Amino acid sequence: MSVWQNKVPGYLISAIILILVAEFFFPVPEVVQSINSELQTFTAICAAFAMLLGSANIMKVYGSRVIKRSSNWEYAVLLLTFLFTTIGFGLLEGTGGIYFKWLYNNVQVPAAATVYAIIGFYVVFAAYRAFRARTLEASILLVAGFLTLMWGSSIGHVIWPGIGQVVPWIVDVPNTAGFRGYKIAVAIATVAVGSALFLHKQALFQKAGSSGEGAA
Amino acid sequence: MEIFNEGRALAFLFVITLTALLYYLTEYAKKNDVPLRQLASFEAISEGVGRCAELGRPLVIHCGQRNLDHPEVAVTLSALEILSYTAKLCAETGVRIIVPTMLHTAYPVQVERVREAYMEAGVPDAFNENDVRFLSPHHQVYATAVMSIFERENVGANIMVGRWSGISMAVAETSARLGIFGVGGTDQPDNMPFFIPTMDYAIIGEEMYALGAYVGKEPRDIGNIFAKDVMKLLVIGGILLGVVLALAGIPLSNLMGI
Repeated sequence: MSVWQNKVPGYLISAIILILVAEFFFPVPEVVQSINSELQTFTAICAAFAMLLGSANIMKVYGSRVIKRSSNWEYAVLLLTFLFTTIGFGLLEGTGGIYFKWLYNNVQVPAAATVYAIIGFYVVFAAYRAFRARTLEASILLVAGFLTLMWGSSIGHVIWPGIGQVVPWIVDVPNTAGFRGYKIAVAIATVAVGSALFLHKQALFQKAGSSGEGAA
Repeated sequence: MEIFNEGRALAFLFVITLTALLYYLTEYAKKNDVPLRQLASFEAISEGVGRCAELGRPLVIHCGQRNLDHPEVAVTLSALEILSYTAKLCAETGVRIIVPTMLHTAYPVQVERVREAYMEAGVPDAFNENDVRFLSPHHQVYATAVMSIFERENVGANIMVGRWSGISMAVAETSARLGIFGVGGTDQPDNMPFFIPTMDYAIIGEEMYALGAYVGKEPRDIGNIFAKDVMKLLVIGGILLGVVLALAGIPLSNLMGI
């Protein structure tokens, strides 16, 4: 693999990380700030082009399903119809247009809200699964979960007034301690990923086996 | 003129120490054998692939909801490493891998990762590009599309790694209801409670990043895990020191000028 493919992307990534990180830690001159701003604009443009690739993939996958009359091809027709209709209105009248907004407000928003609302039922199913006291840990979870549930409902305070002291303690002490431990470990790991990218010690787009240690 | 932006000096020291440790320990791992801690989730992925091979069903793996242009990209990079590893296992065992995605910036990377895995396994012709599917950037649309894949494609294992929103609950619960073998991993504490009851194995927090490096098993990956472990020990030491000093009436924050 050539130096251009192997080393140059890695050096570019290191340089960009250096510029971005410098602004976070140090008071940098205005020119560095404007470079950062340009880099972020560049990222947004690249992301927009990537969306085109994604749309092309949808057309390819579901288009071939329609052509081959694979199972459930009718759904693919529906998907492609909505995709082209939305793209068409978006191109013709912009995202602020009447028909585009109508599609968004009357089709996409209610459909998305419906799916999101269903999550409530999934949470109940999962809670049932989680709150089966099969092990000691599950039993502790069951007790803590039950107390928190009772604390959140007015009847809990009537049944046992002491719940007002116990649950805040559970939330503030063991829960916060666990949460902080979790976050500290994740923060270390996140910084390590950034440092590894900076040092070219982590593959980004290619595995080391195929492109060497310095692959970016 | 101040050298550092306000309140950033300690963070800079932390980053520099971790970077130096990472460099040194990666070089060390190249020349020496470094024992790695065991990760149960690593075996879980093999178990999922093995189960699919036995049942003759496909495996589904997702890389979360954070695009490559998102500030929280680190977790997606780890998820991509896990994708590479899983794809290679699938290619070697003849298991069909389906990679649904809502990450438009990571989609081409995912295609290449899976293609590369098939090439490494020596079966490039078995790679089907249509099995890496960009479904939608919208969470709800993605969730319903994935749930329909579970039902229609008779999936045998579901691996969800990366950072997720509330829809992970719907996807993971559907997978559990259908009896699909599940491995769920995230670095986000808010989402962890969704995976623990619904998945057979949960990859908790930092373990996501460790697993991303663990599957590579190259010196750079081993050094990466090693550096993180050493840094964690240093942070634990710092916390203990802070507690002792605070108990002695000398708050560490005063010493650091925070």
